[in-house]
Amino acid sequence: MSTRWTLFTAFLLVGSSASAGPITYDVTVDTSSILSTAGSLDFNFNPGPLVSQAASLQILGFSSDGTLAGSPAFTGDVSGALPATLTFDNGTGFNDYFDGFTFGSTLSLQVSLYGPALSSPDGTSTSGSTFAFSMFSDAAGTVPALTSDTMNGFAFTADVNLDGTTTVANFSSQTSVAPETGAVPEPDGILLLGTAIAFGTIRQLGRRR
Amino acid sequence: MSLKYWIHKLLPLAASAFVCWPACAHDSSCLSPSGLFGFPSGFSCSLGQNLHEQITLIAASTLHLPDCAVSKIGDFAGSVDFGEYTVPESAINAYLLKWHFVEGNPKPNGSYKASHHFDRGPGIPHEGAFRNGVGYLQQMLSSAQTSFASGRPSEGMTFLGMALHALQDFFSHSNFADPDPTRTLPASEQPVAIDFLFGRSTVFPKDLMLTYYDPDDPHAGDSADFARFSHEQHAKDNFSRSGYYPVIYDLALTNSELLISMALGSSQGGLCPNQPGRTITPVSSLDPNDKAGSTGIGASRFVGVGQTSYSVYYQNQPTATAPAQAVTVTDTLNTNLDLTSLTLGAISFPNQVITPPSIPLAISPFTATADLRPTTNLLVKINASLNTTTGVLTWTFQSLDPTTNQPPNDPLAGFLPPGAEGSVFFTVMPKSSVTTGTVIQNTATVTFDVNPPINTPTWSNTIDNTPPVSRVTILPTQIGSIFTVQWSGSDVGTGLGTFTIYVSDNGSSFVPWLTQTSATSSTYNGQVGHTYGFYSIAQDLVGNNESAKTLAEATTQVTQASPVPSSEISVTASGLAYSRVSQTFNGSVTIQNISSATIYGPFEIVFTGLPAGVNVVNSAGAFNGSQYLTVPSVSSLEPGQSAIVSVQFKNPSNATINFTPVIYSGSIH
Repeated sequence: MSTRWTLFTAFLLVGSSASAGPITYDVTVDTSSILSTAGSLDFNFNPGPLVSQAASLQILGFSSDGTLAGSPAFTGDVSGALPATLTFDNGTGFNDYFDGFTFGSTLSLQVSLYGPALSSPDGTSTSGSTFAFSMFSDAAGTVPALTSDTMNGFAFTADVNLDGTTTVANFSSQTSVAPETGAVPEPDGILLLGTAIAFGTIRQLGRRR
Repeated sequence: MSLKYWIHKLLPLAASAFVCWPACAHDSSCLSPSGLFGFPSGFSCSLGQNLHEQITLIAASTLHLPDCAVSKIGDFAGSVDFGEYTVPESAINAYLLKWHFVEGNPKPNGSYKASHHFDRGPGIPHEGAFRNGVGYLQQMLSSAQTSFASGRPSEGMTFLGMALHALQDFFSHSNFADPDPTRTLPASEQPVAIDFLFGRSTVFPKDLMLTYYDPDDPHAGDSADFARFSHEQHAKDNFSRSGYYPVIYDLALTNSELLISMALGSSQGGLCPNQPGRTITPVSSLDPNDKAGSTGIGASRFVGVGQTSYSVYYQNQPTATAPAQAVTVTDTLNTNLDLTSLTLGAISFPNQVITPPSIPLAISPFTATADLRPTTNLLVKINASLNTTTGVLTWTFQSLDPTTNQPPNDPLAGFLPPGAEGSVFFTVMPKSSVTTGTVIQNTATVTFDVNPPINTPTWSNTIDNTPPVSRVTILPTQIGSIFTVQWSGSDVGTGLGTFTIYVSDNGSSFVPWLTQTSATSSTYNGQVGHTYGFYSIAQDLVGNNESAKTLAEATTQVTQASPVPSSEISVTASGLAYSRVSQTFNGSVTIQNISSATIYGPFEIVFTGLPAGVNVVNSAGAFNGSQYLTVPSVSSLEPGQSAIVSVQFKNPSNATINFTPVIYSGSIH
C-alpha cells in the first residue's frame, strides 16, 4: 500500500451517522502484520467535561484467532468480559476496559451505541460522549499498533454528538469501521411490532366471525 | 559494411581555426590529399595503404578546408610516429606503415610512449594500458579544444592530429574488433569501451586487450600468451597481414563543433555497434556574430523602464583567409529608447578590454587607441559615437601600422585573426512614455573590412511600464493583540512580485513592517489600547513600484479582553477519549456565536472550576487563576458561526473532568 493511500485512510473520517438512534458499527481489523505479538487492547467510553446525556455502549461479537491473555482491568461503569459482551455506561468520567491479547491474523467485533443521548437527545446537554479503541504491541499498553495516531494511539474513535448522531474517526488503515447495514429492532420496536401483529390478528379473527 | 562511431567531440571555434593561417608550414607549397596521395576525397575509397597521416588527410579533405590546413592535420597525425619511430628521410611527407614495423621501430630509446598508441608495455596489464591511452587521448583532445578557443589554431591542429593518431591506434591495437569473432571483444562490452574512450565512464570493458610491445625486445610478445596480441602480429593496421582493418574516420564541421566519425574500413564484419559518442559542451557557443540583451522576465523578456543592456559579439568568420583590419559595428536603436541615457560598457577584442567612461555617449563620442605591441605590431583605433538624429550607434575598430599610423599594407596584418572575437556593450533606458506591451527590438550589423555587412540576430524585449496595485484587507474595528493582516494586489504585464507593508501605531508615521515580502498575510503583535493602520505598496517582477500612499487601508484597535455573555456565545464539548500513550483525556470544545451580531476575537476559553489535579495540557496560560486556551486563527465569529479547539487534560486520578467555561473576546495576553 502506498504511503499516500495509507495517509489517506489513516485520517479518513468514516462519517457521521445521520439517524438519531442506536447505531452499531461492524469493526474488522487485519492484525496479520502483528501476528503472534503479545499485546493488549483498550476500550473506553467517557462523557465530556460539561453536561452529558446518558449513553451506553456494548462490545458485541468479539471474534479473533488471537488469544485473550491475563485478567482484564476495569475502570468505571464497565461490565462483562471479552469475548462475551462488554457494556459501558457514561455515568462516570472514566470507563475503561483493558485486556492483554496475543494477536492473530484478524479481529472483529461490533460496537453498539445506544441510550437517551442517541435515541432522544434532550437539546440541553452540552457535552457528547466518546468511545475510543486502541491496540498495543506490548502488554502494558504503551506502544500503539496499527494506527497512524502515534500521539494518542487510537485506532478509531466514535463520538456521540449532541444531536444524537455519531461520528467516527479512523486512524488505522488496517481497521474497517462500518455501520451495520441490517437493522436490528430495538426492544421498544419489537414491542410495537408485536402489538401491531396482535392487533391485526384480533381484527382478522373478528372479521371471520 | 562500415559502421560509424559518431564521436561528437566538440571543439569550439574549431571551424574558425580551419583556415590558412600564416604560421602554416605548407603555405603555397602544401598539397591537397588528392594531390599528394592521389586518393579521392572522402573515406569511401579503398585504402591501399593505411598510414595514419594518409587516413587523416583523407578525412580532413572532406572538410573542404584550404589545402595547407588539411596537410597540417595530417602532418601531426603522422608526427607521433615521426618522433617515435625510425623513419627514412624520404618518408617525411609520405610515411608508410611498412616502416612502422621494420626492425628497430619504435625507437628503443626514443620518445616512444605506449600510451600514445594504445600499446601495452612490459608489465602493464590491459586495463592499465587502456587507461593510459585514454588519458593521453583526452589530454590531446582537450588541448586542441583549448588552443582553438584561445585563438591558437595552428597549435590546435597539432593536438588534433595527435589525438586522431591515438584514436586510430585504439581500434588497430586492441581486440575491439577482430577478424576472428571468438577473439573479438563481446558486443556487450564494446559500448563500455567507447564510453570509457570518450570520457562517459571509467568502467573498464571486460576482456578488452591491447597489443603487447616492448621497444627493447620487439619480439618478446610474439610467443605464448602474447602472440595473439603482439603489436606486429595483431595490429590491424598492419596491411601485410590478411585481416587488417584500416581505421578511418570522417570529420564534419558545424559553426562551433568538430564531429569525428570513426569507422573500421574493412567490410569483413559489422564489428562496431553504432553507439553515440560523447558530447562535450563547448566552452564558448557564440555564433560568429551575435546579439544579447536584458533577459527580462518570461518568454516575452519583459523589462521595466529602467536601464536595459545590450551586447554585440563579432567574430572573424571561420572561412576568412586573413585577419580583419577594420571592423565596424552599427546598431540602429529603437525609437522607444531614450538616446540621452545611452552609456557605453566594455569594449573587448583579443587580449584587450577597454572601458569607456560612464557618461552618456550623446554628450561626446568616445575615442581610444589600443597598442597591441609587442605581441602584434599594431595599434587599434577605436571610435564610438551616437547619432542622436538617426539613432545609429557606431563602433569602429581600425588597425594601424605603428610606424605610419596608417592602415597596414600587409593584408595579413589585422587586429582580429580568423576565429577571434570581440564584443561591445551598452546600456540604455526605454523612454518613460513607452506603454506596457511595447516590443523593443534591436539588431546590430557587423562589417569586416570590405566585406558585406552581417546582421546579428534580433533581440527583443517587451516593456512593462505599468505599476501594480494592492491594498490591505479591511480589519475589524477591534481586535486582540495578536491578529492577522492580509493584503492582495494585481498587475498588468509581468505580474506581482513583492509587497511592502507599512504600519502606523497610534497615528504615528507609517514605517515598513514587512519589506518586499511575497506573502499575502502575516500575524501582527499589537499592544492593548493601541490603534494600528496598515497599507501596502506592491512591486511587480520588473521592479515597477506602486504609487506611494499616505493613508491607511485598514485600521484596527487592540482591545482588552472581556467576557462574552453566555447569551451571545455557546460552548459545547465532545466526549473525552483516554489515551494510554499520552495519558491524557482528549476532546474538543466548540464555541458558537448565537447572537445576531459579529463577535470579534481573538477568543479565549477560560476553564474555571476544573477539579483539583486536572490540568489543561495545551493551555495558553492562566488568567485570573484559571487556565485558558486561545481559539487559533479566528479573528471574529459571524452570527451562527462556530469555532473548535482541541483540548487535552491531564487527570492522574481519573477524576470526572468538568469545568465552567468562560469565553473572552479580545486579548488577555
